[in-house]
Amino acid sequence: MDAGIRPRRQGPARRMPRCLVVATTIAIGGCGLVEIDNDTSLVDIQPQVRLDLPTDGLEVATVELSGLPAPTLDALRAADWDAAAWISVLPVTIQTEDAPDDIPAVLGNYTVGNDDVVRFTPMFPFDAGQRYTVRFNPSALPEPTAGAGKPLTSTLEVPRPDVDPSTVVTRLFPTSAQLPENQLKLYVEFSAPMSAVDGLDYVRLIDDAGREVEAPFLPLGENFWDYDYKRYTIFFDPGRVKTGILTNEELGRPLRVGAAYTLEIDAAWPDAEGLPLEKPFRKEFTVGSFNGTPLDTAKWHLRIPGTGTTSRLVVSFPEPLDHALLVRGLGVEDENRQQVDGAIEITSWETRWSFTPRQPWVAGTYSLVALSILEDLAGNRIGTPFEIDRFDQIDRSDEQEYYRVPFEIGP
Amino acid sequence: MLLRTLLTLSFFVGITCLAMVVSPVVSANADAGTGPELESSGPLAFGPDGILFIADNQGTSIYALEMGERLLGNKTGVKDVKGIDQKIAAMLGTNAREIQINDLAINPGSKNAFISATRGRGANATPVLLRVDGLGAIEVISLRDVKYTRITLPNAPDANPGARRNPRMQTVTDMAYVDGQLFLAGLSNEEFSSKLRSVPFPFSDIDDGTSVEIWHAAHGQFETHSPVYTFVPYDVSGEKHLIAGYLCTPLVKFPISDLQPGEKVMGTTIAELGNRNRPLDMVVYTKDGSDYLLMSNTSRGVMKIPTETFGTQPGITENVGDGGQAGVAYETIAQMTGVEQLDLLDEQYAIVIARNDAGVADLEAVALP
Repeated sequence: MDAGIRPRRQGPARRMPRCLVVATTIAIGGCGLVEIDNDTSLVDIQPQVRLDLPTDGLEVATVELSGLPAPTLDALRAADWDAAAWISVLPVTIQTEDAPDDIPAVLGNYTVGNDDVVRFTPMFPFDAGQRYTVRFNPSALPEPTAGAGKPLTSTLEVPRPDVDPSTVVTRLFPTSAQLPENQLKLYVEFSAPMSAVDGLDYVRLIDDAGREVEAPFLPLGENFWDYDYKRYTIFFDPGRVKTGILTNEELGRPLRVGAAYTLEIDAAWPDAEGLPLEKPFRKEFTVGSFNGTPLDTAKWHLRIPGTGTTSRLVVSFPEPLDHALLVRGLGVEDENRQQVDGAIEITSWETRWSFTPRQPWVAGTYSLVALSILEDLAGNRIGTPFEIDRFDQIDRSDEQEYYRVPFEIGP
Repeated sequence: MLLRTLLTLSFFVGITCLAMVVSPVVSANADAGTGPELESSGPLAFGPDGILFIADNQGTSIYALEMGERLLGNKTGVKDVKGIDQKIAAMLGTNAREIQINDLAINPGSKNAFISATRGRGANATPVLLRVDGLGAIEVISLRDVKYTRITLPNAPDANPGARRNPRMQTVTDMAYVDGQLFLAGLSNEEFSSKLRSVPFPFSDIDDGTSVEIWHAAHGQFETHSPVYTFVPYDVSGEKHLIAGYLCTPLVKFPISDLQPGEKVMGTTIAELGNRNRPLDMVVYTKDGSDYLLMSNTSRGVMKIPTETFGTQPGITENVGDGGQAGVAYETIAQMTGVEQLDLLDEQYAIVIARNDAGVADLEAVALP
């Protein structure tokens, strides 16, 4: 593979049979033999084309051409060919139903090994399940070509790993069974990395009459994955959520107060291995009233642990908060404003945040630190509703803003 | 104080509606090397002296690549390539469904087309940079010996970082270089807000640049802090501006000179181009002595927008009527359909990547309308 580019992540090693996959009409034994071109006139002709598969999942499968006479191999070694010359002798092309006539050959590196095998290593590993055509054109070889055989055409295929779908939707946030009319976003968590696809192709919102809700979500394609491709964010179209915007006035909010809905996730959503989900996922919920009230830290309840313990600090909110922002939007500082190291847990439908310190609490003044990015389910922030109707209230910046709620650990 | 008064006053007199707060970036850092290892390939933009900027969203970095002789293939210009997605896929040994074309940029010197793409959508998804020359030859650009400088974008705020990786992603959707500044627009997967960031170039670990948060109040006097998706630098009334396309789809102008750290500035919504739409790309060109903005969209085709009233168009503050269009007038170019990528070739032509009725992507030159 070319320097400067690398896969976004390494997939798990697959169970691959150690064998060639497809050869020419010359039968080559072993497992994984796939369909070949049935030109019987080529039987018994040398050389042979085969696919060499690695066993450890780290090396790249290569196409091997063996059986060329020694003088021809010497001429090839001396030729110092560029890619175009090599492609004239041993082009590898993908097989697709709709490929244009002038389909270019697969890019890669050609070598003549000390084992007298001409080897093609593709720039990118061959795709499992994709068929490739390999043509051997002896007429393009450098002289001498005596004994180089006749033209060959072969079909090669790396077998798909023998695995069953196992990826599932593990959680969907919010976990609450009731969402506000102006719910802003949903997070879908998966048990394993997924493919970089537009998740909205696999999500439907169904109302209580069984009808699919028209265009409820923001169509932003594949941009809303997390780094590991294990969480996908679905934004309700803010043009429909927010008051006074045309889409809202034409179509109304996607969620109606008092109605019940089902979010359906199709099992066809491909994981990072290209496999479907093990099973579809459904979340049923009802819709509560519009929420335009900013968060108020004075309404949070803190259950304060005792000194000398590693008991949890428990913070309860009067309403569910956005899970993703809650994960990084709350923390604890000591009286020197040093961050206290610990583990968090979010429970009770995202209305409770617990913090377990790694070191026992010592007597003193601490602060619960809330970042200004913290939101409820409707995007309302601390002191700032999602919808603002006063232009001079927009005094927010990209700087980290903190709200501190002090608490005492007693002696 | 004066600015706040102006802001409040302008709200009441009905001038709209975009606000920015500019503040220092606190934790960006820069480095340099040879043979960059991109985790992903996103938007492209050409800079000075043969520099190609490429956004690596997965790596939360922007690379400035010193392209040197790689800027020109065998011939200047760019020749049409039918089925560019199929051909790129074939060269990379995969099916066209596994190819994602992320951006297109025409080098101003060689006029060759540069394509940022991804091979594969799963575990082995790999970024690729390609060049199409005047003969229509497609070449994968090796970055092995390419010198680069890189700036890593600051991490998202985190009150309790612990040992986990922050799952928030900031996806850069567009970039443009203007007079020593690289401007970046982006989206977050956790916050419905927009970041318009400016970074001085050459990258420096001393001057980390500025970050701008934008939102606007164009719709029925409500702030929406909607994301900017694409933008283009343009002189309006002799002053450098950014013309920004937001989701759903206000067109907004910002004076670049106002984007200073610590300052709060206003932009003006000069057009509402319709709802349920996302702008994709913008270019500005001159024809018959007049300037036009050409803008491709997800659901409303390619729009040709005269710029002559950009300086005088009053800001839109009222909700708009049926169809959601108001402000500066535009014309939809009927013959340009399926345009997914757009850049300017020269004074007569744009280069587009457009998906035809069969779902195949074609790279082609189209006469500027």
